[in-house]
Order: sequence, then structure tokens, then C-alpha cells
Amino acid sequence: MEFLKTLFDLILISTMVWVAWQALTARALFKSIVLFIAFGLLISLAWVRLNAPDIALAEAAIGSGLTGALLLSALGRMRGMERGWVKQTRKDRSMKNTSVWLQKTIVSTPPSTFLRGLERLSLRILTLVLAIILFWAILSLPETSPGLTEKAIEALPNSGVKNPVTAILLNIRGYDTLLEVAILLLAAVGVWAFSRSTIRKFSNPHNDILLAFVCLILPIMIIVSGYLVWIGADHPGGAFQAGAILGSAGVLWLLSEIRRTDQSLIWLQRIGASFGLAIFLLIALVMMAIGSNFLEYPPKLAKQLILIIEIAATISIGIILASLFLGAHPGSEGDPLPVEETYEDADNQEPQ
Amino acid sequence: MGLIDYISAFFIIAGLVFFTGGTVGLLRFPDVFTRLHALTKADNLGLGLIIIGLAFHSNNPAQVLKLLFIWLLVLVASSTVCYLIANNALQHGIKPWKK
Repeated sequence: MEFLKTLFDLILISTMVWVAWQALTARALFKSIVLFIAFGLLISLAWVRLNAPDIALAEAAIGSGLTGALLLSALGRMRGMERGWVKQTRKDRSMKNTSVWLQKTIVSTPPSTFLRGLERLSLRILTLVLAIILFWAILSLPETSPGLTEKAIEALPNSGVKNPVTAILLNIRGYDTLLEVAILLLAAVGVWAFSRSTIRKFSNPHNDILLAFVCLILPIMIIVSGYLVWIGADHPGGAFQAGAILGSAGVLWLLSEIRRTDQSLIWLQRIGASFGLAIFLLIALVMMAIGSNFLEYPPKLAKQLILIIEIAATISIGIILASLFLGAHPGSEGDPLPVEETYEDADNQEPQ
Repeated sequence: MGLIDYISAFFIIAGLVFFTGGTVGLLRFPDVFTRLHALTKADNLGLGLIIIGLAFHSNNPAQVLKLLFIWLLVLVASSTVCYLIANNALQHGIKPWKK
């Protein structure tokens, strides 16, 4: 069996390298994106082989699924702009001009001239040096390093949860997670600040099969997301995986155009996106006020506090990821959302 | 290896046959519609058989239910995605392959 496992690993590794190379060198962007998604799934398989199911879940949901959706929507926007489907704003145009300039000056320079050849050569040498340094770093690692594992395991009974990954993310290294949630929020704010154009059309609006599928799958996705938060206390799972599933549910919702986020709900979206960070900070500050350190939870309350933070973070991560997919400020006065006819059936099924 | 292992291995290998067939179809079939046909067979039957095979290894009914649930979800998702791709292809004027 050991031989078979080694064989599987070898095939996995070589496939990963090959798919990565194909994704980088594919001429068509669409092909690159599809290969990138496949690459993400292979990475998540590799995490499973390394006994890290938490990361495998996160990689499959965020790294492969949602990032893939983001890349595809970016590609759709680029094509839409070229063909005039998407209304361009001044900001879009200036961004596009910048990217064209970047492309002209950096990426697609004619390799014929001596200077360009030198540039390419120096790039290759730099990459080679980087690769050698990385190889050296890996080789110089000690064969078996316990790291902080023992200390973390010792602290586990006081952390309030049984899954060591959740204990580290939410309790022992809560600061990192706090900043991660903040970074996600910043990304969404950045997208909203940059782009105000809305995509006119995601898909063929009259698509009953897609609608039926979404109506079936959305409640299940929300339940699975809640399940992942809950089970994260003692099994693989947690806020990021659950948030990614909630975000995917949001992406499906946007794609199916059951109903557009209308203007009156935008405040809800803003609150939802910042909810996780706010709760996280609030709990940290309250704990400070009652005499603990920043982000330190008393062991008796730790389980409840972690659960509250995780639920809030899940909601925020889901809303932020779906907002990133929308890729634009959801409702700005200058460019109102396109008015689409709503579906009677879909409206009835939507909880009000 | 007990009897259970043999039964389980039988189902998993049968599932792999469908996956192999689906992959060969994806690579060899002439147009998007026939390729989709090959792929969805792999998803539907191949995954179903593998899940039956895996279920024999589980001694926990909840786990078996979860496995079956995964299969059902993939069935629904793959048939919807198959329809969406085929529909989109038709709308873009791609004609089904004829001999």
C-alpha cells in the first residue's frame, strides 16, 4: 500500500506542475482560468494527502471555486467592455488605459531588440536565483520540526474548542484571523470604490432550469454553511469554509437574477460586510474592559465567544465574497442598476 | 481482505470504468454536446458507483447518508450545468455534430 500511496503522490505532483505550466502558458485566457480552477482542485487534493482537511476545504471552496468565479466574471467584464455590453465609466476607462499601458510596456514588448532580450534574460536569471533560494530554504529545513505543535496541543483544553485548527485561528492566533477578516472587508471596499459600472446581463434571464436549480440548492447551501460553522468546533470546518459556501450561494443568486439587490437593501449589505469585523473587535474590546488582554477569552466563555465571532465572520465573508463577484458598487446614483423583470414564482419563494 | 472489501472494490472499479469512459469521451468526441454526454455519464454513474463502494466501508449510517447526499447534489449540479452549457452553445449557433 505504501508503494501505491507514493505512486499516487508522484502522479499528483507531476499533474500539478503540468497543469500549472499549462495555465501559465495557455494563449486563451479562458483556458488559463479553467486550468487554474483544475489546479486549485489538485492542490486541495494535495492538502488532503497532507492530512490537512481544513485547508483542503478552504482551498476547494475559495481558491478554486470562488476565485475561479471571480476570474471568469473579470474575463466576462473585459469582453463585455470590448463589445460594449458593459457601460464603461471614466474610472473603468482609466483603469483599462493603465492596463493597456502596462501591457505595452512590460508584457508584450517586441523581443527583437537587444534591450528587450537583455530584459528577458535578466528576468530569467532572477527567477532562477529565486528558485535556487527557495530550494535551498526547503532543503535547509530540519527533517522533523515539532514547531509550536506541542504548546498548541497543551493549550487546547483552555481554548474552548476541540478542533486544533479552529483553536489556533480563533483563539491562539486570533489576531491573524482578525486581520484576515479586515483585509477581506478592505478588498470589498476597494472594489466598490474603483468600479461603479454594473454588468448588464449575467446570463439569459429566462432560464427556468437554472432558477429551479438555484431555488433547490440555495437553502441547502445555507444549511451546509451553518453546519460547517457549527462543526468547526471539533471537526474540520469553520468560518472561512462556511463563508465561502455562503459566498458561492450569493454568486449563484446573482447569476440566476432571482432578484437584484435593490437600492433599499444596500445599507444591509454594508452592515453585513462589516458585521464580522465589528463583532470580532467588539468582543476583543469588551474582554479588554473586563480585564483580559486584547483578543484573550476567559476559558469558560471561550466556546460561546468563538461561536459568535465565527457566525458573524461567516456572514461577512459570504457577503464580501459575493460582493467581490458582483465586482462593482452595488448601487450608485450615477449608474442605476438595470431594471429587470422579476419572476413571480421566484418572488414567492424568497423569504421576505 | 474480507467479502466486504471485494464488493466495495468491485463497485469502485466499476465507477472508475465510467470515469475513464467519460474522460476518453471528453477527449475524443467531436463536439460540445457529445462531450457533455460523456462527462455527465461519468458524474452520474461513475460517482454513484464509487459512493456505493465507499459506503460499504463505512460503519456509520450518518456517513452513508452524507455520501448519498453528495451524490444527489452532484447529480443535480452536473445535469443543470450540462443543460446550461448545451443551451448556451445552441444559442451561440453551434450545430450538433452529424455524421
